Amino acid sequence: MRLGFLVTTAPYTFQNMDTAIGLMEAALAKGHSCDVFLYMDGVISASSNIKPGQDRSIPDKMKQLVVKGVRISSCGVCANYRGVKNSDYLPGIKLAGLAALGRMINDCDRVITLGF
Amino acid sequence: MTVDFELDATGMACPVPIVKTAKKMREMIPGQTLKIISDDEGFKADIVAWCESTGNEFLSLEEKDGKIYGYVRKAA
Repeated sequence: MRLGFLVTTAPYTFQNMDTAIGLMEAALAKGHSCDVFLYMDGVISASSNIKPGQDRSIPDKMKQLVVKGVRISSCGVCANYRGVKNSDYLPGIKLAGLAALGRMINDCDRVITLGF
Repeated sequence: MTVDFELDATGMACPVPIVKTAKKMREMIPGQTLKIISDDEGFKADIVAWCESTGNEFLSLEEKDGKIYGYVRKAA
């Protein structure tokens, strides 16, 4: 099964990205595949500028997901509105738009939205 | 590459470049090519995703002087 995750909240303020990561790790371990679309404040989650110190590193976990074949896209307009640049992103994570979100919804068997 | 039509979507944010692309492609006949000019970073991934979703052929992307040039061919 192919799972899609739409995450719309900022990392560390909300635990939605952590929930998505946990679900994806479990799904991948069972042989499923996953796509992610970062939307609204969710676009901050994949910034390489995040330095969480001793706390869990969401960017590191996302980096591992990319290595495992998870396709992660981030809304370009949302990123512009929040001062996140393409060059801020971790390798393998690219800016996209609503056509990419539409493709994810179309391609995935289930889409899970994690937001407010 | 022969370009049949050109669409300037400079200054327009997502999803307008894709919406305008879709609208222009509806006016074209199969086999014709469209060049789209955009400065929206998300357009690079979006045009590929849109082609995959609609069955139209994605030809190429070029970047020059802060602008993105996308080339697509209308499917039969």
